[in-house]
Amino acid sequence: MKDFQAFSESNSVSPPQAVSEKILSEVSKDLDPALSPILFKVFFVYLIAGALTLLFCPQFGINLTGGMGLMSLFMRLGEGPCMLGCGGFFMASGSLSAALALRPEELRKLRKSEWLWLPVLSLVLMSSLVCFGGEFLLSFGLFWLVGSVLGGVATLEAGWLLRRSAWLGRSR
Amino acid sequence: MANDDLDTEWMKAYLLGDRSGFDAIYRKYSGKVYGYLTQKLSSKAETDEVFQEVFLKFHRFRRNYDFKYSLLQWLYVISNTVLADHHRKRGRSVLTEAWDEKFDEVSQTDASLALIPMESNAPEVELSMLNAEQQSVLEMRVIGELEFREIASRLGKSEQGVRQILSRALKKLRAPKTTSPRRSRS
Repeated sequence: MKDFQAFSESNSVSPPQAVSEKILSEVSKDLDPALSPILFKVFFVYLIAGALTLLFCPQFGINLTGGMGLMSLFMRLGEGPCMLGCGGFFMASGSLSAALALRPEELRKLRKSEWLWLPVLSLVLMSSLVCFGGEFLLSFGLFWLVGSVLGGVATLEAGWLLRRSAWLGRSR
Repeated sequence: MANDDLDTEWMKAYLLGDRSGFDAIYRKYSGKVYGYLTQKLSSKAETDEVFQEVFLKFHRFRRNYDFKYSLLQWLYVISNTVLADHHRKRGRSVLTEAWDEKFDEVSQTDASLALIPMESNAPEVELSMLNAEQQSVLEMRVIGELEFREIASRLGKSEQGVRQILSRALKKLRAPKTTSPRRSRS
């Protein structure tokens, strides 16, 4: 304990500027990653998670749940809300997977611009669905887009809160 | 806000990927760590190297931080671990005066360590006769002042296993190897 006392009472000596810069730049590289590689990674996470949600969608012929699946539930509210729900469900699955897969610094970076990249990603993924035979009328397509952005952002935020407590809790 | 509360806030922000948390911790503690290392090491180059490793290790193992300890205690443990690694890496067969000073201090509270014989004209312990694991346990116990439980968790061994390693290391150190007069430290 004497040594700890010596440590806590030791005189403060400024470290050389060059050493400080090296440490801060190493840490910064780690804590402030570039957005584009994260987005690249996230694109595939959303693509895979979104594709899995199609297992519940009768439109794509891979409906494992039988009948109209989730769609019948959403359709009770009308076609617009159905598209809203489908879009939300599609992107929420990706957001949840991303929140579970990414490191805190990556998730933090993503959240800063989520209202920018999520609409773009939604549009890209919707276009992919159209390419694979999805039917979107313009007005319903807009419902899907709005639903996907809202669902994506809300789930990303919820995922962040979930992981936040886990990350802080893990540090005992 | 109290000092420790501020440290906790910084550490939480840092753990959540906020760089400003690390910056604040670095601003507050870098001088103290550097000051401590300048006392422990003889050359500026060595001090710079160990200092850099202390903060990079602090960063790499940030998720191992336990909020029940203060940041100062955590940095102290890391500093001593890095110092011990530094000495080991440099292939020193004998420990420095700092180690010896530390040894004296710990031996007052750890009876088993106090029994290690020391050469009266060279108050240093020959560590080269120990294997890497024994050296590591001895350094963690003496320099890092770690509990057996902590050493066991770091090495992935049982507490009993660590005690055995330490006991064998001490036995080796106690065994006379030269004809020069020896004394027991107590």
